[in-house]
Amino acid sequence: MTSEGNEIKLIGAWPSPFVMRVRIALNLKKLGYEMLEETFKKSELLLKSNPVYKKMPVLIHDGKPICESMIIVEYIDETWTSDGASILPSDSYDRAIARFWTAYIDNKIPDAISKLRPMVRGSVEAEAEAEKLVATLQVIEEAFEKCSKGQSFFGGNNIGYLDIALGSCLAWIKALEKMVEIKILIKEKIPGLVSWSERFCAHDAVREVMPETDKMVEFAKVLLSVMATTPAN
Amino acid sequence: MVASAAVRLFGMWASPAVRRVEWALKLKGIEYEYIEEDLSNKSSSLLEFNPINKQVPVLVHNGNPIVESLVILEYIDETWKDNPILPVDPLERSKARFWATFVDVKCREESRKAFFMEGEEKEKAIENLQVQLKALDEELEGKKFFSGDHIGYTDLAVGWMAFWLGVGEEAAGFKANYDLKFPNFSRWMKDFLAEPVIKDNLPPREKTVEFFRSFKQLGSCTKVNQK
Repeated sequence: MTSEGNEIKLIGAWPSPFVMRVRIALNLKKLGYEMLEETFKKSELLLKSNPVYKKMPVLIHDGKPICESMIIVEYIDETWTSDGASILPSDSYDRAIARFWTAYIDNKIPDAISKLRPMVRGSVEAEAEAEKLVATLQVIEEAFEKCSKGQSFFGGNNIGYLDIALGSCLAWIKALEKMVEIKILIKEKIPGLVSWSERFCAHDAVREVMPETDKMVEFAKVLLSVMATTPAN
Repeated sequence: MVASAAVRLFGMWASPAVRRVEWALKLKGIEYEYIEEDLSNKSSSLLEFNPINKQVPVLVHNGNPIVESLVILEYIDETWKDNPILPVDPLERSKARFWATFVDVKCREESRKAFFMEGEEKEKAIENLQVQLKALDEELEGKKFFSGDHIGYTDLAVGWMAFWLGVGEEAAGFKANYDLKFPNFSRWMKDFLAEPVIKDNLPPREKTVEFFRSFKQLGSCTKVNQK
């Protein structure tokens, strides 16, 4: 499929791990796109393009919206098949494994991040919640061993679908370690994932869209104060 | 045809997610061995094949387990190419997946609340469910099925609502009123249940209502599987 003349826009915001997933996928396919940066007040375009969820990211390809981060990643992989690397594994069983673990990650990690974010630094509560997250990552560590088969990433020697699903959460995980004074990426407990996280963040397709930890911490403070004054949506 | 031993499905008779997989297998003409699980006393095979969630359905193909019903549906479609259930076009595929996850995550959440809760929380859940049904109703405008003229992935994903929503309403004493408010959705429910592969593969209604009635009385939030 040719990528020439295709107009790609992405409604998103730099701190969002879900938006990051799409940007990594677009980078893997070496696709140019226009980033439409959202603020705390949702744009008309977002509300119109995603009336069901009213959430980013939304990819707009030649005027057609696609919603939900991992669905967008799959759309990108299926549309631009000859550009850049393949994102999903080629074997259908490996694909099922990648999809299963992505669902597992989405079921556990975003909630864990939301719970930890407002917690008091060094509190007993925060320690307990951090331990739960580490336990979740220990389960994923086993999946990493099986999926990577000794190579650098879940996807083999290049990042793939499952790397993107988990790796996008690293910005918040590192920010939480700093903000809440907890340890999550513990080498002794999840050695494979700790090394993987360094490789992931250094990858060409990831580097420029993975926000720096200090910037995330600053953003988190703004987010928490906005959430404190706005009714939940 | 695949030899039956090569494809095994671990399930439970009342579970909508298990039926979803059976509908797909039958649409594709895939022979399989069905193993009924007692979820209060799970078999060692089930625990071995699905140690993470310990739930049904689990499809085992040539000894390899696949878990999560929507993941299983995609696996089935990719492995057995006859009678495709997902569309070919990537944009249409993204829409099919969008509605499937909408129903599996959002509608299921509100249905569970409407089923288990009482009072204000129940009312709120019913309200939310109706907003969701409206979206599904609009999506069906001008279409017989979500997937077009024939049932496909999205219909199989939404399918539990055609039968189990009514079962839940009867077992828990609430009404989402789709027949009054959502004519497209209401029509789709009837058409979907009339499809031969579906009609011949549903649990007995009374028995299912009774099952869910006692399930609710147990007050347990353990899912019958709903993966």
